[in-house]
Amino acid sequence: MRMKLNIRCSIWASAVFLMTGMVAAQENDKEPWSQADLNFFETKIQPVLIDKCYSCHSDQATSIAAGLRVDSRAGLLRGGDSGPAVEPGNPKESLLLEALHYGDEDYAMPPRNAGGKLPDDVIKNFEDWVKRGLPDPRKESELGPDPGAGEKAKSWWAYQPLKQPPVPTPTNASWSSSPIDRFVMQRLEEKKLQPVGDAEPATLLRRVYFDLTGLPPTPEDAKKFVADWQSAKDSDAQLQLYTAVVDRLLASPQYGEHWGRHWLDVARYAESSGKDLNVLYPYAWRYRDYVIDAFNSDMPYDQFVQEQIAGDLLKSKDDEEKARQMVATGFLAIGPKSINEQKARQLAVDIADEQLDSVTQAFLGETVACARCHDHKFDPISQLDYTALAGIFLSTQTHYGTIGGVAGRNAGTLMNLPISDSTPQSRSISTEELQKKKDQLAELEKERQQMITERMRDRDKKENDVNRVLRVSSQIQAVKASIASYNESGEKIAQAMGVSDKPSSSSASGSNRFLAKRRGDRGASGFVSIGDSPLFVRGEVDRPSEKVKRGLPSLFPGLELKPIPRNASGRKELSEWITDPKNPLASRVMVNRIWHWLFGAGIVTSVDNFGTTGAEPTHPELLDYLANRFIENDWSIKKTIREIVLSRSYRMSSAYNETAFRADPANEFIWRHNPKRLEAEAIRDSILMASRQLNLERPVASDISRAGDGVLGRARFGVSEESILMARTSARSIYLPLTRNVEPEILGVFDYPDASAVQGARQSTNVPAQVLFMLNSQYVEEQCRRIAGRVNGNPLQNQKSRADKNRPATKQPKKDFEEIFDDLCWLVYSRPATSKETSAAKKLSNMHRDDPMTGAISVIRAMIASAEFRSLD
Amino acid sequence: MSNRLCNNVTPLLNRRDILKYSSCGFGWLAFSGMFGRSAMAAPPSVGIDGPLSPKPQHFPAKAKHVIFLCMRGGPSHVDTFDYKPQLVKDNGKPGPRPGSKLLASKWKFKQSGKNGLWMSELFPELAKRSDELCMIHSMNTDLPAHPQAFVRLHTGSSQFIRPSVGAWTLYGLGTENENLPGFVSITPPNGFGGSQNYGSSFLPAICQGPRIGNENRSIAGAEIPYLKPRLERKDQRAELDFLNALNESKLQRDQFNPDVEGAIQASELAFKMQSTMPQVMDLSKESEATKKMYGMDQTNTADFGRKLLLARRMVENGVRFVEVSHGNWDHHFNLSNKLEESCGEIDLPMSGLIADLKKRGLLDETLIVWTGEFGRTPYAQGGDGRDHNNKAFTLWMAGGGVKPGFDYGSSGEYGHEATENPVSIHDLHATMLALLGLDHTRLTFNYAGRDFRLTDVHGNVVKDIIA
Repeated sequence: MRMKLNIRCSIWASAVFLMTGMVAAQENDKEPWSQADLNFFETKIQPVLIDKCYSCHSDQATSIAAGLRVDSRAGLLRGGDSGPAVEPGNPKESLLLEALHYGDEDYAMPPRNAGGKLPDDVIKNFEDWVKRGLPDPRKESELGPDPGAGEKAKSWWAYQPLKQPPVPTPTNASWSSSPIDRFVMQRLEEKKLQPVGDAEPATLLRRVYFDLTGLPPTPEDAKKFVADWQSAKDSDAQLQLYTAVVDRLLASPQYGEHWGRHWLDVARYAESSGKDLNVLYPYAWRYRDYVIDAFNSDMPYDQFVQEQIAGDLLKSKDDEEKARQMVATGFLAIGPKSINEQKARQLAVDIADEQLDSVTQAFLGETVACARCHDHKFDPISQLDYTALAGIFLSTQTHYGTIGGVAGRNAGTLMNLPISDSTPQSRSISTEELQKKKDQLAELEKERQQMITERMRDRDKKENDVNRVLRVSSQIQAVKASIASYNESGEKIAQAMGVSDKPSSSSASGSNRFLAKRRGDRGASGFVSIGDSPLFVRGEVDRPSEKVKRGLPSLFPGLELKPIPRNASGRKELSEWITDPKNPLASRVMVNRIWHWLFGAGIVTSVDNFGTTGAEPTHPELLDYLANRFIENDWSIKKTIREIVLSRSYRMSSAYNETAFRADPANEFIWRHNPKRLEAEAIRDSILMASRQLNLERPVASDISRAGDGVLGRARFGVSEESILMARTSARSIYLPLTRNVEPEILGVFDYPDASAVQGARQSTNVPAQVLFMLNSQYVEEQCRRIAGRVNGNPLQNQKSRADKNRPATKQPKKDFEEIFDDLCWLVYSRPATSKETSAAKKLSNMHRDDPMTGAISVIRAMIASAEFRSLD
Repeated sequence: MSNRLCNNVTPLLNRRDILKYSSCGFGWLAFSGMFGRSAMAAPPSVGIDGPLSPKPQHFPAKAKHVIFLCMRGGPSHVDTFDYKPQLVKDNGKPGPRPGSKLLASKWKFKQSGKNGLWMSELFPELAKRSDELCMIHSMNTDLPAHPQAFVRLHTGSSQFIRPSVGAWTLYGLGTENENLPGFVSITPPNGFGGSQNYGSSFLPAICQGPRIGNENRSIAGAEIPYLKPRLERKDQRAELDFLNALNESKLQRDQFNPDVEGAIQASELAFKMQSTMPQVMDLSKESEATKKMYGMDQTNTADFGRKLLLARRMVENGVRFVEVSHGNWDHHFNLSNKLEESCGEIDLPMSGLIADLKKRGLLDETLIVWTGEFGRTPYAQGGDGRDHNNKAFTLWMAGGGVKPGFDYGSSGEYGHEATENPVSIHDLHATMLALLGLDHTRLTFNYAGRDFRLTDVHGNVVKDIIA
């Protein structure tokens, strides 16, 4: 082979990124070298490598020449810029030997200025070495980290252990009411900034209601709170009032719905696959409910993480717990998928990649998936680290439960939960009915078999029966899925999306292989049992290279890397590694998310990216203080939130201050509370609350579960794109049908996230489309009409909606305009009206003397369309 | 130009009009004070206020409008506009990346037009307009990752949230028709930075581009929903005056609140868009011949053709910056089919757009820019695909004061790396602004005491491509 290298020595040095080799263990530790082989290597080869090559091609080099490392077998096999350096057993095909032979001036090695060509007998030894199959016991894991960029990345703040910073003692000691405040004040003083004053009680109440529950206080609650506050004897008594509210809100079921929704953003929750076909996920809602319940019961965050990654592998005390843990793994199953992907292998690798990406970004704030195709360009994650992790997910069966056939080339299974089914479609059937289904299946299979036989017989007659075969195949899939959802006595089985470990040996799933073969899929996915992943050259599934043992990245000093048992995927070990208190990322990332959701900006502003392309913390000590507290408090999210919202920092006003703004426009140092925009769900929910349409009951399952299996947009059981867009139900927004690419338009117009990836921070736009929706949609007008009826005590109250039916039709005394408008202000803004607003409203209302309802709607609509309604000060 | 809606709309508000128009009159006046703080080299002209008032240019403008054709995913330059005979010769030889093999383009290249620009056979229709095209073969960007490169192409920064190039353009030029948004993004992708790519960041919120549709859906059904008012115009105006009064009283309480300012601007624009936008979006008055020119009569070109015809109508009606996105050009696999498909969808419509603008005398004042966020490698990925390449890609411009029928820069013998006259994203932005009569070093916005630029502290105008 005369392969000419087209890169010259002079630019070798500036070449590619380095393999950092931080994988716990390498595949090559099982290579069975004889003692003779090893002796040969250690006496004849290694000294030469160390003497002649290491200075440019190992750790010792300031930059790895030509990307080639010769300090491990893996390094040689992987090669450098010109490809693998060695082909074991084949010296003629090995670039290394060509270089030693001085076959081409451009890459003759060692270079002339470094001693020149090696003696012939040494070169001969190298030939022998290659012929022997490259015996080499050196493990990449034993190498020190690379110098250069990888090493720099390792010193990045986020990878350093949690510190125990002392709580500072700022000069202004009286302002602080908690350690958090002292950290904040310390930074403010350093920057010579003053905190603006405390928030007014009405503002504070509205803020904490929305921040904790996503809903406003009722006018009654708000008025009472303000009155109590004003009559409180001192600020301690006021703080007590506020604390009571906080505790009440944290204990309300609405808390879990609001904070669960935050988590669903992180979990890229959606009820369909998105991508090419957009197939529905009728069982995704179980994960949604799991998340809400976990927040409401204040499940310790480490447990929450472990259940989502490895719930199926955890011990459980009863069936109910078992079911919950299984549902938790829905986290891994609900991601976007190309259900119609042609190559099963590609789909398997893509799913594993998506899971790996979501896990690392959600829990660690790391974008590990970049290393799928190459060593991470910015963070100390090598392609080997990636592959070691990918093996964990390739050893995992994902039950995404789409039925195949017309609903995509690929079908997924579901998990059967050990609990009874409570969904509306859970009607059990008689054994006769079940038998009928089975007969139908047999019939269909016969029909398909017949078609196939016919085709075999008459190969020319093809095109027109392809559709018939597809139709029958789809029916078969649907009937099969239906049968699988009943037990033998016809009782409906509760099913869920999620994951489980693959069988531990490939023989167990031999039938799968057979089936796959029959489908014409070359070896199907190839990942039928628990096993390690090959390193895919540049991420291409068609280019598998060496297998990399499943393992965890050794990113954090002192964090023990538990070996992954041969017969386990390693998800459990991964989840324990993530939540080990010695892993500084899990706690930092989560407390930072909480801070972001409460303050509108994280201490690290790039909430999903703690890597070197992300931001640095504005308050590193505060971040570590919070992370430590989080762990000490048994990873309690509620306690963390409570401590933060009770701090004076949180209770600050959002008032503008020219001097402070000039010094710190982004409010990095928290001289005020950031004004926030309400999230889409809170906008919808509070409109519905004002119109008394909001039903606070949790609906059973979801519209998508009622729709059943199929592709979005194709008519199925009354769930059309239109009905998803219109979202005409009275439940809280978290319970609306939330499919990928098609979401309720009231949410979409206010920046609902697209669920294509982890998204811990929402965007916030300010565009005419939002105004147009408010001004011109029938939906908003209907709600305004109801609000008008509510505050007015006018005849409209008699045209009651269903939700109003149970309300007693009390006769209210007629109110004057000022009173009505003041009620409206409490309802919409949680504060009293100002005289200026009242007169402007009156002017508008008076234009509609002949049609007061239109006037009232117009007034209310403008209030709902106003900036104040959707901003949280 | 008789088609312009400007004929029947009011000119920009002046101070007196504002006082007359809105019940409080406070908001807009506040803005003029606010935006007076910006550090434009010259103060806005007297008598007209507001963030989008036309601003004086730094030097004579070549172009007044931009149509930015953004090919999301990174089109392969070596198969389209960057002719590499050496790559064909060295097909299969080792590429510049370890273990890679060079992959010759499977499409033939031809010269066309008076100036003999080379283009591949994937663009037979566009080749007919080659004398209008100005190609830059030495584009490069800093990262080969989609989201970062996409956002950098749009905002100049992949690290910080910064205003988009469309927002800067609108901010710099001011509006030409206050009844329409000055910047519109047609079918942008949801991901890859999302609204950052048409966002305004710290610039006035009104500079943000409303989005029409998104990449996953066809434009035929996409519209700006809820344009139909539920009230008589007079009654709606009164409602809006009350809305403004509410917003203005909040602004007064808050002293400074860009979100509330943005809401006020958005409300006014929304009100006006109700009457203007449906006319712009209505293609029914376009002749069959015109629609055909844009390929609207053919299945594969209908969608992009409709987008470009919309873009022309917007430009014609005074929208400053129209971005049209097209995806997906991320051809890692199945390049031979997918690239052909993608090119087939845009070739005829782009050719039609250029011809149509020319016919209407609009090409001179409209700068068309075609680009992806990066290019693709000259070596193969998986046999029939190409990987990301941030070191070289080809961008072309047409109209708007660029040298027609012109080639600029080079990406070496294989197209792997910009070797001659490299052009960075900052250079691109500087050049686009220059063509619009704006000096990128003087188009600044003072945000909290610092003057910000689209090009940060970088960027050189590529003078050689300016006619």
